[in-house]
Amino acid sequence: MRKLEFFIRRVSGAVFVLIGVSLITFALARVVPSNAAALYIGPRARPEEIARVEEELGLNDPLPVQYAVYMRDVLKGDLGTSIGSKRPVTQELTERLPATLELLFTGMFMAIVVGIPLGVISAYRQGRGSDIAVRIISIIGVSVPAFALGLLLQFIFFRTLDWLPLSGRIDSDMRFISPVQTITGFYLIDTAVTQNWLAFKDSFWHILLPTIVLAAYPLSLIARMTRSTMIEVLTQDYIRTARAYGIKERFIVYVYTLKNAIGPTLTVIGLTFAFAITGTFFVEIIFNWPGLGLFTVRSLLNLDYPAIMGITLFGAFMYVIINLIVDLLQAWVDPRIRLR
Amino acid sequence: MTTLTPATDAQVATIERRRGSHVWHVIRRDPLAMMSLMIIGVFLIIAIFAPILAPYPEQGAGKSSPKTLYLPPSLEHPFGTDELGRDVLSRVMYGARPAFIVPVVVVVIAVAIGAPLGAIAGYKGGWIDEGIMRVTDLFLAFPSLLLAMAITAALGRGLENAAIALVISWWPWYTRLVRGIAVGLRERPFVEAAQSIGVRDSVIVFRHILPNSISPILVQITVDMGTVILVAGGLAFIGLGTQPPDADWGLMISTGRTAVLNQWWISMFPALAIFILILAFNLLGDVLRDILDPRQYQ
Repeated sequence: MRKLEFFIRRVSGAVFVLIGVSLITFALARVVPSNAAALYIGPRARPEEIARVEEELGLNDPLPVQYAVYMRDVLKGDLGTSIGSKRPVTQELTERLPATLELLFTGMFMAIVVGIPLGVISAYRQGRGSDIAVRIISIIGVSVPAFALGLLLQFIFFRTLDWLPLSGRIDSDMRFISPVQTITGFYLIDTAVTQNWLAFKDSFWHILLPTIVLAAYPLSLIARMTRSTMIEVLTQDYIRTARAYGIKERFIVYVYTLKNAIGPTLTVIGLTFAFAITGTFFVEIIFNWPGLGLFTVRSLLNLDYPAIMGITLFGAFMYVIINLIVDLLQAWVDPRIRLR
Repeated sequence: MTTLTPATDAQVATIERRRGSHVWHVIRRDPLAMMSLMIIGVFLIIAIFAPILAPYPEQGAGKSSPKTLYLPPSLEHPFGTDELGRDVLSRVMYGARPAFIVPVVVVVIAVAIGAPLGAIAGYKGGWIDEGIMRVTDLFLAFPSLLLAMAITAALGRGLENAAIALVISWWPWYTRLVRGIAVGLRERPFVEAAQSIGVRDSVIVFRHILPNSISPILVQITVDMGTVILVAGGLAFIGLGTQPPDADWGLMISTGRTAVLNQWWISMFPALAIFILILAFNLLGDVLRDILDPRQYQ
């Protein structure tokens, strides 16, 4: 019963936040700009066009009515029309979403799979060489801006060593040699499913550097958080008891200790996952990755207002959902949380 | 019992002073923290005296020099020259100015808004607390860079608007922090004593709750500085912060990015500068966080 209660409480909390998020986005989209209609059709608008858009957006209606109309459109999936491409913003976003998600998932996967063991090793060998090495890596990881790290890696691995491709998702020749059949939009999955190993290898080499750059920040935070909670748990009585019983050390560290230390790490994973959404923007610019970030920046520079507002709402939505999933996961891993 | 309020004030001041000297003591004994503090000091001096220290002050401020395009690092131009022929060293020195000004302004204003709200929420409790905290939750529901991008899009590009945008996405963190502290302070004898002799709530908040939150706030500011520099640099990199011809590391990395394969020095030196400054703040923040862990108040 507790589980269900907790679930309902968290989900309703998230719904409340989403409503608030929509209010803020609405304010930014319609209320804050002194002339929203002009923003919606771009810098070269004629006065009669502005008047028409004002009418269309209902900018002369009272604010609650405007908000209701805005929400009706949003819930229908209508985020307006991009000034740049003259296409629906929703369409632009959904087309680019797989590229961004693929990068987001590989980056977070790497951050978790590398970050947690690094934190565990660091805690277990506290004060020794490997611990110091991990701590140096992690402080560098949180201090280097993604755009600086990306450029540096490009310079090393493309320019100097010529080991990895410079940018993009896949070699443009691949279209003729061995085209990717789109199923999920994730190149790594699509090529693996269709056993198109040539394209798989190519897209793997393309995603490697962007993944490393995106992973740097969350990886470091995850390693740091895992380290500090592991150190705490390793000194607990029941760990000493487990040792006294002669249970294998590896088992004690990776099962007994890690299981009890994972809670705060999960919180950090949730937070950094959300941070990584905006992190992908920089990575996409540097590596010319055709996802949401590249679209966002192009929209920002072209003052494509409907697109920017669509992205803001969409990004905040993703952020809230990810945080909700992490919350629920956490409660599932650590039942004590449900009682709070 | 005779002079309750002045006595507590004096006590608070002593505690504050003792804590302050303790912080300094720890920093002085930690070589990494000391080094970070020195690095930050050097960057600060460079930022303040950029017009005097820069070898080509005019170019640092933005004047182009068509005869010296894309020169590699040399004795004359230790960091080379950029796509408009400007000395990259001078540009990096001038770029230290927004790198300091923006985060300092942002954090100070964010604290000025966030801290009193948090103190009121924590001290008053009840529906006021509930209301304030729900609003902060809303702002925290946005990834800060995304919110900042949307705000600069609504207000227009430029350094000032980027700073406003960062303030809007940053104040809720301080509200949260101070609320946690205020909840703890509410039960303390000197607050209860002040209440019992009829001191107004606003006086209690500003004279008792807030002064007692200063240490953790300062620690949090140090810890945050690196992140604010990072995000502000990101906004400039996207083109939403400092506008050319003013110098800004994020902007320099962005314009030098297309030339990174051949003229690496244009983007790599500002990248190094922003990295070192953020690293210094993060190292210092780590040491301070260990001394006065703000989490202990939450």
